[in-house]
Amino acid sequence: MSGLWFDQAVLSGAGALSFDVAPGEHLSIVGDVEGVGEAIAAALTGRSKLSSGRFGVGDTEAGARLAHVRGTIRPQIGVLRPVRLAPANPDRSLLSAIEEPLLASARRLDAAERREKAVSLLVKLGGAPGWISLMPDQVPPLALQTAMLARALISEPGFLVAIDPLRALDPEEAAPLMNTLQDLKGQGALGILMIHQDFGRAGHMADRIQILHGGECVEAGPARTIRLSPTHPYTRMLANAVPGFASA
Amino acid sequence: MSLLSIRDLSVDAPRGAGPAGALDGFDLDIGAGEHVALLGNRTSGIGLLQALLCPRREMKVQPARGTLWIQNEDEGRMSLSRALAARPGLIACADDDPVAALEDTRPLRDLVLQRHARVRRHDRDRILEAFRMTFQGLSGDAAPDLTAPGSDLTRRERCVASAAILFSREPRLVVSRDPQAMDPLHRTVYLSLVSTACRDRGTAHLVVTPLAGTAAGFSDRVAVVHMGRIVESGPTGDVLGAPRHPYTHLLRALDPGATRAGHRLACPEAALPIAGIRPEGCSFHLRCPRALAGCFLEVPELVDAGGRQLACHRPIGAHQ
Repeated sequence: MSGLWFDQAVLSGAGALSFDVAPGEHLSIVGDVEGVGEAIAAALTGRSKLSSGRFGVGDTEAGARLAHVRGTIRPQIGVLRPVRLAPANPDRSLLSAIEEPLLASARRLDAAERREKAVSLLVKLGGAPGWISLMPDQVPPLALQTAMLARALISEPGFLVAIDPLRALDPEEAAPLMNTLQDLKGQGALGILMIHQDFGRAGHMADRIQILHGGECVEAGPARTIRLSPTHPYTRMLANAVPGFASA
Repeated sequence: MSLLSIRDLSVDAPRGAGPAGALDGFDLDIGAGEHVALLGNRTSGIGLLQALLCPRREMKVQPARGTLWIQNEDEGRMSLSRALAARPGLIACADDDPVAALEDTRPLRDLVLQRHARVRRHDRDRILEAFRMTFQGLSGDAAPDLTAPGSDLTRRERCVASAAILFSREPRLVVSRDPQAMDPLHRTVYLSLVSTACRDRGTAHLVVTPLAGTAAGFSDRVAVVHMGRIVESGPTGDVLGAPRHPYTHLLRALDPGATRAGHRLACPEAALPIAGIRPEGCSFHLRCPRALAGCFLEVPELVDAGGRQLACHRPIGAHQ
């Protein structure tokens, strides 16, 4: 298997899951996903072990020791959470939040070099350079989330694990972020694993979708097929729960 | 004769509430039994109107200007505070998240009673009986054991219980905020329950939402609000089916239910408005794909335009 992969992995919040994400691809895991995103992130960043199953990136399988995971798998992963859980110290500027991972991953860089990397990445993701001197509560939610995306990507990981990243963003705020994620994916270097409950947006953004219900994957396949012709009853309920407009 | 009549209402965001926008010269009528949606983002100010009708301890909101009348058939026209004093329960406010609201170790009967302001002892049994009957009427199942803790209820039962609490005191208006914190299935269950129950009882329903799809699914009339002012309003099918204001068009295109796979979302280049800073002229011109010179000189008036109201210098479908 290439890319990021999990094989019969038993995670808290779900039973045994298997999935893989290639660079330049977006897999959305949707449905009964409470706790699943955090469990996946915790495994990938070497904070907790799976009770059974295997995972890895490409040919590198995660070892039994957490230190091994932290040394080999973790550097390839960036994590983005809902904006209300943004890992930004309220007393420090956004620059501090964005460049913090570099303090561990790129120690040879000095302050000016870190700042330059942070600003150029922020601008590439659609942000404004002036944001770096602002505090988290001084910017609108979209700006904060864009900065958090920069933080997640500053060490140039191959994969982004996005846990409900559009939660609580109004559609006008979610749209630029969605476009940014699509652009990053389209450039081919980043694989995106998104764990969330937005079936409608999964249909828009994902290449493939997995539907979780009762701890297991009940349906999986190309996003377009799942979105437009769901077969499992639970998937159909999710499709019908997207409000208002008829699916098109 | 309107049940709720708002004229020239201006409300500023309370301090410390974050970028909540402000209402600016807002007019609205809701008739008895009408289903109306207010569609706008977090800086539109519609959350402030909801806070005015549904006072919360953590966010006290006071109008800076304007009037808000309630017309109750028995008592005639009254200000909001007098109407609520004369008939508490006249306006019932739906939960933002009934699943979380009923995550409580206290018995369900206590949770039901605490939702009704100023309950007298001899009213308690009547309210609990009304709750039981309403629960049964909404779901077809008998009410759960009222001595059991709220947390014993399933998510679906909590949606029904929350709706039953709303209707036990026979409100004339229910105010709902789009329960976006909930998982999508139960969000739809709850909204549908409340909306259907309002229709069955002839209760008016005001839905406050940032999602065009929610407005489309749960209202007959919609008012689209941008930075404190109504920019388009009219029958929901017309306004959201064939939007004439560019902002309405944008909201419809960005709705999660309407997005099309593989297409880049059409979002404006300019950043979202920072609450409190009003552009000159039309508040939307900085982000509007149709803006021309006149748009940043003059604030457009809300005028009648073929079955709807529209505030736009260059509406879609204009004969120019």
